[in-house]
Amino acid sequence: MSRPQQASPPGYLGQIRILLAKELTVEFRSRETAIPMAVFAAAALIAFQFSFDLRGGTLNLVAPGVLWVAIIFASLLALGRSFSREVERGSLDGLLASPIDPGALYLAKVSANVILLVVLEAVIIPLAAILFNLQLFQPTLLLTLLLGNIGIASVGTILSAISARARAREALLPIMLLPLLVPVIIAVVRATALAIDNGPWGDIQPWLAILAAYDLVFLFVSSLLFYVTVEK
Amino acid sequence: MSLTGRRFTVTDAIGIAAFLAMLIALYLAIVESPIERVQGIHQKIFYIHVPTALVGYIAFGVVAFASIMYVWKRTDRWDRVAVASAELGVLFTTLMLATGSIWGRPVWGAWWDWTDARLVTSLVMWLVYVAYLMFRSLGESGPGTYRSAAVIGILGFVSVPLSYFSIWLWTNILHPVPTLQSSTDRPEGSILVPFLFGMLAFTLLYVYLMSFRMRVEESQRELNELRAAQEAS
Repeated sequence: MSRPQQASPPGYLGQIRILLAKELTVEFRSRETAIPMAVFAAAALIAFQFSFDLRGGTLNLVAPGVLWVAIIFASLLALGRSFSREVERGSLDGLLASPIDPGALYLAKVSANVILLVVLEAVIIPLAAILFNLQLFQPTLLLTLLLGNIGIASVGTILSAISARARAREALLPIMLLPLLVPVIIAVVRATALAIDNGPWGDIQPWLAILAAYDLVFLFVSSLLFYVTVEK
Repeated sequence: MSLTGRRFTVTDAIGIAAFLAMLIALYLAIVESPIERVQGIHQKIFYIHVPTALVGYIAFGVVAFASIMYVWKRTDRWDRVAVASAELGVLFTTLMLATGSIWGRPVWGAWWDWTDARLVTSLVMWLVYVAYLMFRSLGESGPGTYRSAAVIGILGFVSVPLSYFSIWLWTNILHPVPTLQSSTDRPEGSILVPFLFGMLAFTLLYVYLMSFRMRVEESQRELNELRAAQEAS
């Protein structure tokens, strides 16, 4: 990447922007995360179809859960790579040696993972809408997806950093992630079910409020604590 | 104590006190407390169920506090507090889930009910700390693992208020709002006293096991250091 020479070092937001551009460049050149995620989620949807027989009466009951389980399982692919890739290439030490705020590194990684989840959903939501004949194009669903993505990415990114150096990291990440995501899962599934059923905004809004609160708490606490997990 | 020539310590005194309080609590709960009108004798398990639950919450609170202190001070001792308290918290929470399940079978006809918010959120809390312990057991012993564990200890605490306040949040059938807080009908002394003795007994047991577990952890780390030094030379 060629960047104009900067007189002063970039601020917090500038650092996030640069790091996010790096993440996206790496992903765009390697294409090793977004496409496998989408293919995996599509395969999961098909597996669910044969497990639950997603038709008729039970469809609207089961579909929100099926959709989110597929998204969360696919997110493990992105989250697992997020820091282990840096550790394998030894580039994490380089990042930490540079004058970057660890909080900015965390937030850039969260943003990159949110973008990967958005790409994933841009593929599987239309796919689910077509395959299962669901009314998925609701504005409230878009908001639910975004808040859910931030929740998954904010918890998952710090756990990715924590597990990157551990033994059995492939097992540790989901073991730690899923229990901590339970509040997110409850809220997104309820909100998605209401959105699919064209439920009133007043019913959906409390779930989105819980989700937003959880996202903010985790983003805030994790960006403060992140330096503890990566320091040498 | 005299057999090994070891001096009588505060820990020993707490252990004896815990044992005595446990005996008194059991006597009060089994013999003295009245038999509940609807649930019959099954209700008596609450003299164990509720104290183990509350001590479990306290133990996880201690994990969070010790984790914050470790991040701040970076002294080995705070990490030992965190690991010891997490193990005991899982122990007490396991007892809480087991006793709740044993009560559930005769009274509402099933070991488990997914519609009860506190039951489900307590299981989530238990899982969070099992994951915490699993992370510790898989990581190598050293400051890197302790620091990451501290972060999990702080973030994981979110599951504790989630479990505690769940009864006010949504579907709640089996867990009543605490009687002491719903002011109008205060529990009779015959129920309150055995409960408080149960609380005392399990709190003392927690303190006793904590000091024991922390000593074991200290010895373990000393041993690891000695081994490492021996290998290096």
